[in-house]
Amino acid sequence: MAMTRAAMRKRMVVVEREDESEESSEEEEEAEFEDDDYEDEEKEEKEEVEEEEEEEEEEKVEEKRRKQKGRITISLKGKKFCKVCKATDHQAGFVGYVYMDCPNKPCYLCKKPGHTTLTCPHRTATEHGVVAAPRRRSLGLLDFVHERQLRSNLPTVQLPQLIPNKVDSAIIRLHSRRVTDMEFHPTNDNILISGDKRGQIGIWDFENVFNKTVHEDIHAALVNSIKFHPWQEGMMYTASSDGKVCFTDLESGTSTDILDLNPDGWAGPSSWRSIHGMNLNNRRELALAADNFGYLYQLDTRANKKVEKPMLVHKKGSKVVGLHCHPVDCDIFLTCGNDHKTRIWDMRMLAPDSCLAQLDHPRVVTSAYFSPITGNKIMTTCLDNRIRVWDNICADLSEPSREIVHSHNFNRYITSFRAEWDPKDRSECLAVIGRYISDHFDGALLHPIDFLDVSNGRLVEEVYDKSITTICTVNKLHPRLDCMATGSSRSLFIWRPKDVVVDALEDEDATTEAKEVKKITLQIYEADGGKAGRAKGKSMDNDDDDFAFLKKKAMAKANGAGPSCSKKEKTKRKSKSEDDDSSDDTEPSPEKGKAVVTPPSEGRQLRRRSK
Amino acid sequence: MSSWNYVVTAHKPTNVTHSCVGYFTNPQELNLIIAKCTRIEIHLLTTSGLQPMLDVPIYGRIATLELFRPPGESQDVLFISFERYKFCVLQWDAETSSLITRAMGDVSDRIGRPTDNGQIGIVDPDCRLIGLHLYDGLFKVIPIDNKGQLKEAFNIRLEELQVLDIKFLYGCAKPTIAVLYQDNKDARHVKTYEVQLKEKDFGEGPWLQNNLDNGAGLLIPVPLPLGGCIIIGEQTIVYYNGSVFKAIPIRPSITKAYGRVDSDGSRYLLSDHIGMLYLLVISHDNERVSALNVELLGETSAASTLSYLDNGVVFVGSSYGDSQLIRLNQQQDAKGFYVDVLESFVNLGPIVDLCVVDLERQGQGQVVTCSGAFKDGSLRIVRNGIGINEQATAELQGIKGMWSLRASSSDVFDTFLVVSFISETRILAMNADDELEEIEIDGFDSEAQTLFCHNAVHDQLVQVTADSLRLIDAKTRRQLTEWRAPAPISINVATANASQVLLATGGGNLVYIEIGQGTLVEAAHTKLEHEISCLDINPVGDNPEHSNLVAVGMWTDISVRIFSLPSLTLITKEMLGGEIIPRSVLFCSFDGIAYLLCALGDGHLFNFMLNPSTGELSDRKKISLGTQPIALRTFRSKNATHVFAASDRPTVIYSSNKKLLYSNVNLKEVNHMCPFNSASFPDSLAIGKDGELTIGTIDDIQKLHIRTIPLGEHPRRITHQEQSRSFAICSAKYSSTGSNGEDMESHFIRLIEDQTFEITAGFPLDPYENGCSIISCSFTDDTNVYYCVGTAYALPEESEPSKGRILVFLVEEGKLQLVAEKEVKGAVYNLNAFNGKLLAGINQKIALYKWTLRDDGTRELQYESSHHGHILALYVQSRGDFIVVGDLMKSISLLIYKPEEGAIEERARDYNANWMTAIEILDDDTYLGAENSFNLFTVRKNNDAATDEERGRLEVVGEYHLGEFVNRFRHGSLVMRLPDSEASQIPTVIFGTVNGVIGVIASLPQEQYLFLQKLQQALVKVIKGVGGLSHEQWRSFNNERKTVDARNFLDGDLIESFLDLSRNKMEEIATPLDISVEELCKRVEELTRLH
Repeated sequence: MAMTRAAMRKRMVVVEREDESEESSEEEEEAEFEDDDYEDEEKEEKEEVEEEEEEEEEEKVEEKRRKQKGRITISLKGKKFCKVCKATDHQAGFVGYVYMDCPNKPCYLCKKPGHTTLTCPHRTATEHGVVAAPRRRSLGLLDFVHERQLRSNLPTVQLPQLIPNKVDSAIIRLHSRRVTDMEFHPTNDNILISGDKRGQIGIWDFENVFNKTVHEDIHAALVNSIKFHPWQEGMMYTASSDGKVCFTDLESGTSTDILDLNPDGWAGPSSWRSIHGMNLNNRRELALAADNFGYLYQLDTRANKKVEKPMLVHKKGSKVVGLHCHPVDCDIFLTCGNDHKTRIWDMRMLAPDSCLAQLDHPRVVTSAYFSPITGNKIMTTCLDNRIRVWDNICADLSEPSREIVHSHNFNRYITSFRAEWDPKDRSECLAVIGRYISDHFDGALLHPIDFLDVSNGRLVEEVYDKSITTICTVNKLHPRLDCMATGSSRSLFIWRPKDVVVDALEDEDATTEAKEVKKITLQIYEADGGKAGRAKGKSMDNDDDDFAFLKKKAMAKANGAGPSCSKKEKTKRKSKSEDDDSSDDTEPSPEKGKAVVTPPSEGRQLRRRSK
Repeated sequence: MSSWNYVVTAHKPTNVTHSCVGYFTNPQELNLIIAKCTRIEIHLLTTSGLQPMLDVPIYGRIATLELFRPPGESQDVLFISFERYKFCVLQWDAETSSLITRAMGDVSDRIGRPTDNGQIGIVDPDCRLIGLHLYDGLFKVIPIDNKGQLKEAFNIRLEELQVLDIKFLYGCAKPTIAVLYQDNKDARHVKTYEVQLKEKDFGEGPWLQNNLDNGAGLLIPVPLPLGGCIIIGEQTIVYYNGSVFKAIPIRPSITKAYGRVDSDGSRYLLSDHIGMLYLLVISHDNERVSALNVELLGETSAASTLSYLDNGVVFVGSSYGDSQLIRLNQQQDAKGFYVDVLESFVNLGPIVDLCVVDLERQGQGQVVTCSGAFKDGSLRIVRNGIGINEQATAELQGIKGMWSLRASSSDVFDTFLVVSFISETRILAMNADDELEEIEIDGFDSEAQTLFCHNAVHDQLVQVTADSLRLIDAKTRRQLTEWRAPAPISINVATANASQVLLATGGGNLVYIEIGQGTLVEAAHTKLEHEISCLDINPVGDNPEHSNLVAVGMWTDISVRIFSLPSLTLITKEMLGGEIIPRSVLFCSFDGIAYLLCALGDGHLFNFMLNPSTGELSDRKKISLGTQPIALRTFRSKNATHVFAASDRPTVIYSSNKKLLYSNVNLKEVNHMCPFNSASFPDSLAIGKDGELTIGTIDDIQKLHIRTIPLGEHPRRITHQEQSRSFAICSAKYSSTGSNGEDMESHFIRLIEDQTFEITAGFPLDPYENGCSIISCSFTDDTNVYYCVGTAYALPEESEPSKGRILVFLVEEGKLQLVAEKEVKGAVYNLNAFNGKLLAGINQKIALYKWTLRDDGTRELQYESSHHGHILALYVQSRGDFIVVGDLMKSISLLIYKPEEGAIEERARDYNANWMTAIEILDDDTYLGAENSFNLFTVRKNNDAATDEERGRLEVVGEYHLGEFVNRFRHGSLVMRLPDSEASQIPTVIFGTVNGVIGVIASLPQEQYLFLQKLQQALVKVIKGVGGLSHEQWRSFNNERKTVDARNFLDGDLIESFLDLSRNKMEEIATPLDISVEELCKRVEELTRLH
């Protein structure tokens, strides 16, 4: 991948006011926290659509309102009042990322009365109250190998789950805005594609961390979905909030718009269409995309043009957030939307109100996926802080098989959380999702990434790295390798299992030469040289320090060899405004976080099941 | 290039998966129908036992099998469903004795989770519908109308997701199912539903029963008058019908199969996982059940299916041991059991491992398999061809001919063995001490070479020498009369039956002489234009003592002619072509069909169908049996006639299914053979080899011969060591310990002598330690040959073993001496000798160990290098510095060892996600794999690719659905390789499967492959699959991720079935291929020699 980023660097402005609006909203993001959640929900009941947009940080539509609101909030800063019940005699709600319970309102996490967030039983045990799926008999590996020699129709074995729990490589601030979606290259194992809020698409080889490209002029707003063409190598479809679906060559970045929903440009939020969900139906050679007004579009991937008429799949005017095709029978697909619904459709009988099934949720559904191998399960993420799982799509779908309470409702401008399946797990039990609420780990307040066993709600492992203080919203498990990519703020991280690394290094009586070969190096690359943040002043210089720990580790391991850490490629930004957005959803340093939390007792330190 | 492969079955599946009893072929006669995964057998119950009626392959893996009687019909029809979601209904066609497809269809759903506990297919007892449980949460209904026609299927949503069993209940107004299921808390319950065909939904059933035995696994619906259902648990048996509840405790056991004894449902047979057979008796007064009783009957093979036939005879079908036909006795035997085994049916399945050895060192491979499971574990020695069990051998040089004679016509057994030499004839006879002793028969000319001799009518004997034909009284042993050839010509060839003699004298004279009481009458004489090379006058008509036809083989014009008797008129003249003279002709009849066989001097054999009344020949076929002249002789064994073809590759010709089969005999060159059925050695053969006379009995006449070495424990891995002439196996012994019935496992390494198959030594492994791999190998700088064993500790708390050992043994005086041991971190799934070192697959890695000498002179294994990055490196093969790894789920990868760097690196891999079950290296560039959806595939190394990326990819070149789960590939062959035959140039791989199949994969030259591919395409059009199943679909590579057409593999079973076709159909196929039927037959028969 050529490092032509600097040369290509220029800012694509599609809408005149875009720049301005973005900046202002960024400011807000830093300065204020959105009103607390309950209020949100109450409002929501009245004017659903509008409120949903807010939660979903729909920048263009919302911009004016935000500006005003922003001012008000800023003026209130420092005043003591409860964000939950609005009383002034106490302070509660989110302070930073730490939630302080309001004595008048119940638990923030599960919203159930009778306890506070601190004492919420779901906080200490994610499996609390979960009806576990029937246990399938599962053999140990050795028994499986021997037993299947006798009985050929053995149910498959439960393979040991390797949790990628250790940062293996990272690229710091590859993007100029927060990462919104990621996708692994379908054939090239170590290539990660990422899209950001500004519409840029980053390509990164995580085996050679300094090998990266950023295509900047493909989209003008959030890249919401990236999918690879089924057989044209290196060609991908990207869908964006600018209302376009683009067909892009990965290598050159040349792209053609195959769908543009806003041909006449910006004419106010009521007419601006953006695309969120997109997926490919490879049997019919179609790309399906859905917009923020509830319409579904079909694109022929052979001719790369729109076919059929747009069809209403969700409540008119409500945003369709996600779209996923069934892995086995791709004529079946799921949509989820701001109208609190998830719907299952069949391409063969596609008509408004003809969905096969509708899964009702109490709040906005931020993602809905079929399980990756058989497609027999459905997992949805809903803003009511619950992950819902249906175990068998043939069975009665009126109630989910189980609800797992998990903190992923958010009140700031971050990419929404989506619980994703492990595509390699044949039992289709393992899911990964970032956690919003922070916890203390080794004295630091961090947002771990949770691995859940969705068959019983058990927290398999919470993964964190001390140096990653930002919220890890976008997490993708590799379809073939034992690794995970995380997009947090503007940076990308690759995790690998700790055990494998250790195992590869030890070999009881390995000869010294052999040992050297197997040394695994931690690779970090700082895409913007760490300069951008510093310019802003003291308050922001933690931006660099965030990753100091990682860098130190890399230094130690790689022994300073290679360009991975010593050679900092300086790609200075030209626009001064960029300095401002450097800390898009990064958090104040751990120390700061702690300082804010001071009063709450040490009991906040949760006892979680150790891995 | 080994990319063009031919897959053929050498030993058919023997694992009995299903069986049922009913009136299928005839309204009056009971049939037993047996399913062996991909084959169906239909037997008829006769007073003398089971009589096979049909044995057909089927293009699918049978999942369920049920007989049912459509309304208004007098015979049953057969419902079969298949693992790939097809079903068919078969009906018997009495006229053609074949199966007609009455209905067929596809019941797959694109979305749905296949059930864990296997598919269920049941038919309503009142024949209103067929119910299928194929996917979790769905119950598929195929309605049957009142004319017995199947209607369109539909799904009903089933609330219970973990179904263990579903059965239809008897005597319900609406079809009603009972569902045994497990809930989320692992408790088990039974629920009933009415199937509402109109509403396409379930209605509430008459009853339910919650909280059953935790091990409840089987439902038995009870017929009227009782109705209701029996629920078999591991500790209790429950009867319930909604109102009456009876339960009894039983000895802890896992019931695997049941069979109903009485039609009123008051007695059932139950068989558990260790093969104990119980009788469950329901006591009742025709309305109410009063009690349940269980009684232990005895021990059989662990049953997978039980079918009660009649009169206390039960068929026990087994997957893990031999299937059996047993009789239940009224009286206890000495052991307190009530079971007699009437007959055992050999089952090789599951073949867990196998090795190919040449124990007799004859150049012919034998396969030794680890067969069976648990207590039914055994070793099986599988050998192609018929064995001779030698009883006596004497050195005798220069034998020119042998005949056996009875002392009198009324005797049953032979007494004399006449052995002819170049200028004398000697007669051997059995004496009182069962010894063969030379005697004199006065009437015989012992000073001349005997050309022929035989027992004749009127208690007489005939002897033909070059000068004369003598008639001898069998009682007085004196010569009665003599016929002399007119001088100067002499008798060249002679033959005779009981009443007729045919002589060929020089100059092409043919003389026909009839035998009377004390008289020899020359009845006819004719002069032919050429010399006669061979004659036969064997009776094939109704009269066993008299023939109407003679066969004559001719010099010069190379023909075989048929003359009629007594006039010696020429009926048929068949030109054989070529330049090789016929050396032996023979009339014979098999299965009521008469044949003429004619063998040539170069080891080829013609066979013709003979019309015994007209003497016409038809259906000419030519095959090659050997390279030397063949002498043909008939003999009888087990009440059937066979033909022995003596040559450099002795062969027995016999008939099965009205098809001639050729089975080679495990002997080197045989010159002469005659049957010698003496009182003390019944059914023996006298065999004249070079300088040796052997008397021996012959094995059963069948193609593959299987010897069983029962072990009583479960063999898992086997290897052979030439130097110590021994086998070593890893085995597991299961024993139940006392009261709680918990099975204990202990593991051993056993050393077995390779001739006697006696266990000579054992080495117990540690508790929890399993033997996982075993090889025989030697190391650099060490002359000894060792057995290396890889083990794993299967600790109950670990899901993946974290510890194992590599043990190195030396065989000393028939004992195993542990020379070295090495602890490793994981299960040693495989071991390979690798350039004088040891290569081991241990969990996720491949590790290389070298054999080093310690200071104190002892040896140890020392780690050298390794390669990581597999899920489980289960199967490893190596060639040179290349290592081919078959991963648990990541298909095949190719590694290379770099000796300079001491490192193992990945060179290329197949990126498909195949779950491997076996691999083998076909040649330097082509690797063969079997995966767990019963497919075979080949991948090829991409040496010439332009980019590194392409070179790093193993290209899939062949794909094929075998329909069998392969556990092991081994290079080798089951047949004797003749140096000059085409077949011997073809490399072959032998495989063994769970169903007990032994198969052969032969890598063909491209030209031959392309030709056979055309033949296969033609055959698919002519030979239709049973049940309307398509061959193309069956052989398409299929797993949960993809389905693609088979390529670069040929179905040998289909191609070889060409030989079973009628002449018309053969022509239909041969004509478009531009080849004569005869040539095509020859080419296909050549292929049958591969196995």
